[in-house]
Amino acid sequence: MIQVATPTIMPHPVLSTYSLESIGTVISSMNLAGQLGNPQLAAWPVVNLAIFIPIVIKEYRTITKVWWRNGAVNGNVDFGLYRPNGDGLNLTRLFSTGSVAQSNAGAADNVQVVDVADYSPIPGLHYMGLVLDNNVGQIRKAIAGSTAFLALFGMGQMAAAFPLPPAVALATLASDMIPEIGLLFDRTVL
Amino acid sequence: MMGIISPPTDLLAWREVISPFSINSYGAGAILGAPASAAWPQVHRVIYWPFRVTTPFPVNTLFLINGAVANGNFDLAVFHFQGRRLVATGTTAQAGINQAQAINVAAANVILSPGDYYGACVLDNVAGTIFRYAFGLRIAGNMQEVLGVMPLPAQAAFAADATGWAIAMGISSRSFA
Repeated sequence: MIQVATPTIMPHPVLSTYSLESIGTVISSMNLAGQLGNPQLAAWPVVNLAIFIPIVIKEYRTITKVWWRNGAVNGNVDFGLYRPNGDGLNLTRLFSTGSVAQSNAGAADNVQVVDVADYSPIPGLHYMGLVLDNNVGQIRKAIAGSTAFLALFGMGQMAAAFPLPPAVALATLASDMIPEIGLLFDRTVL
Repeated sequence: MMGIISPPTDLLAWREVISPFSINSYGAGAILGAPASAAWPQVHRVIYWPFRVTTPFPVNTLFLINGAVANGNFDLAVFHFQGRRLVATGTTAQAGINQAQAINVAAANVILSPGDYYGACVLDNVAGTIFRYAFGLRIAGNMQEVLGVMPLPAQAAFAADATGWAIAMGISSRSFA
């Protein structure tokens, strides 16, 4: 007999920075500017700087697409999904989009959606990674308003990381950039 | 034979950084506000804040977000909810302003079992500052204790909270803040 645990909440087809599965609780408990529905715009802080956001994937589900929200577009973007190695520092890439031209074509809400080969991660903690190859292209974001307490978000960064590398050594996030990015599960239309 | 496919399905599982603002603490149910710098409220006052883990949590790093003035010493720790100290930084000189000061405690090899705990912070002076959000109420679940001396005790003597701060302290299973 196989028993399958019942999820405590309904699996949502779209997970993002603002989800409870990610850092949505920290953003909302700090009542930051730029919460879901009202994200602020900013140019990417540093050329080739990759920023990583933790996200808990609770069930066996299939990722079909990834997305991020643009402002003014420029250059190229790479989005990846990583898993922690369990050593408290390093991540391993599970997949990435590779270099994609930043574009708002056909997206009134500036959501850029990229199809990926269907991928079903083992439930657990993962990190979404985003990197731009320039500091002109804009991404929508939440605003901490200070770099002092960014450590509370549990995010991380890696310099010189375009395109996203297969192995990442995380460092403490140093830029007030909490990008609005996410994953689509189990369906093909965002 | 019975096979069980039951990965933890709650939202508290597998987190790597826990603070009062996170889903593992009262941040889950409260819109507080962004933390700001403030002087510690009382010499040797300990602020305890509650949190829960639902999967094993190796305590690698404890960190404090220092405010605009660093002064004297602090001690950070994790206590069992019944008051026993499990891991602590010990008395540590506060250094650096407007940034996280992280202390690696991995050598203690403490892995929290699923359950309820308190994070703890104490400063030995009222000139040193930390980032905190002042909500001014005890209802979030904080506790306090006023010590005679540093460091944090082996057994907490919890008393009602008189500060009402969500302090910018973190407990991390990572090796950095």
